[in-house]
Amino acid sequence: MVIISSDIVKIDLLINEFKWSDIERDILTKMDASKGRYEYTSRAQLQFELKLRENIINAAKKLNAGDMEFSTFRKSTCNLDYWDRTDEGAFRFKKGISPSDAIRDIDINSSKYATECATAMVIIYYQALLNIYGDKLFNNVFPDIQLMNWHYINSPLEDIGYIDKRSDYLPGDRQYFNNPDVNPVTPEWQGENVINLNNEVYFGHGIGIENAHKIINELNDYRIEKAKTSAYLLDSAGRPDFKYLAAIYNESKLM
Amino acid sequence: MCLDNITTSNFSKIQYLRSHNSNITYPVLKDMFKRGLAEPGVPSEHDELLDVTALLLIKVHKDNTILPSLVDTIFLRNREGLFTLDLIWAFFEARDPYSLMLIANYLESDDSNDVKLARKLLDFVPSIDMSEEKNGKKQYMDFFRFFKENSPFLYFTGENFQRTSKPIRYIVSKTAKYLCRRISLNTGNPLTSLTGNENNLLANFNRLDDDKQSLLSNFSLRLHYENLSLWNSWIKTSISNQISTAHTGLMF
Repeated sequence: MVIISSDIVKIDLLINEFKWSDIERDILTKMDASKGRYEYTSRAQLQFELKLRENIINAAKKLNAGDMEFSTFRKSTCNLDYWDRTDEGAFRFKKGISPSDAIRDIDINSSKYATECATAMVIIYYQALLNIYGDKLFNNVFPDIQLMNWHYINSPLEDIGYIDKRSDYLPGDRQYFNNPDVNPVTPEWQGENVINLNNEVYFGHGIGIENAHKIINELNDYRIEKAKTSAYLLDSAGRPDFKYLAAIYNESKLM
Repeated sequence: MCLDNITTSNFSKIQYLRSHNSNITYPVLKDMFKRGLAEPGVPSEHDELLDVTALLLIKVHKDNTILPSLVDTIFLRNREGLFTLDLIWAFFEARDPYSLMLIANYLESDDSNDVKLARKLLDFVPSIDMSEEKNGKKQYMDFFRFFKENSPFLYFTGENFQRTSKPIRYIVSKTAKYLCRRISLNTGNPLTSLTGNENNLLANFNRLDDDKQSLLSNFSLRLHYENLSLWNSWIKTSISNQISTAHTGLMF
């Protein structure tokens, strides 16, 4: 159910009223069919969430199409013209470089980057927001970026680090495949962070764009000998604080 | 491959461990681990070798005797800004709640990096507050009290830093605490089957909201410890009577 300013929305009317992309229309339809309540104070707030979800999906597909390799933190690499690599394998953008240029470079020079799946998710979120916010707002909101899985996330985005049970799983959600019987010598395959791309297809860095069955099979290849438990998709998802991010964006429009 | 040959490169040893670890005996691994500890803070390959041997010792050989050294290595590397995530994962995968006290010791460290990491690793405990103002000694005692009360009712979730920024490593089973029954660390299920009566009690307990469940489970444990005979009478009363007694009981 979709609720705007305490009114239940008739989804057919809303869909016809605006020019939504296919994915935005799909997400709206799923929200409407849900037993859960998707509540917004304004149409602009709902529009922002849909736009951000679409951009998250697009950023995920773009990362997949690029040349960023999968690696463990020990072997991570980055473009040293834009980022410094720390001793623990994180990337911290260089002084004198703007955060927006540093994030953009990950796409432009993707072959110079290698990291693991959680950090790839964080990169996707930053790229999605850069696309919506534009350079000026992005640099104001995220003046200092350090990339290392769910550590060091700037506070406007910190909610992406949490993962909770949801009433539905929507395109643009961050989900997780758990691999409890992982071989201890390959701890990087203890699970796989993914972006839900819609139609039961996911993007996970290191695996690519696949359905759940294929991702599970891939993870199962990294289990201990005589493993008893298969990898599986967790019944939970991570989401950014869409409303807070929308407020930042909408406020910037007033200035 | 001669793993105890000092002329064999660390890179080669790591590759061999990754692919042939089932051929390597426990004493050889243990020896590699001990030698690795003796040379801390050397290049990345050396640390990686230590991590791989620690993971194999814990996950394959179930050797929890290395946990104290492991914790010290984690905190040492953290102070130096080095990679710790694999060792942290190995530590928690040992599934030894008592070893959490090794981390709790660092709550009182003079080094603020130690304190920050200890708080982060124990952040799943309600009494641990990440705010700077909390006194280290007080936090240690808060954790000690939490652990003393709840250790028989903890179960391991497997959550980790790859999945979330705030993994809840262990959960206290309120149902187990309410019934005062020890549970399996791995499954959260009671170690022995519940009686029909206990199942009936749980059916009512599970309908309560979180606050009432916490109230009853905390009161039940306290009463069970202080007066078993009184607890036996109390647990047989209706759920509403249990709640009102618990409300009154906690005022004293």
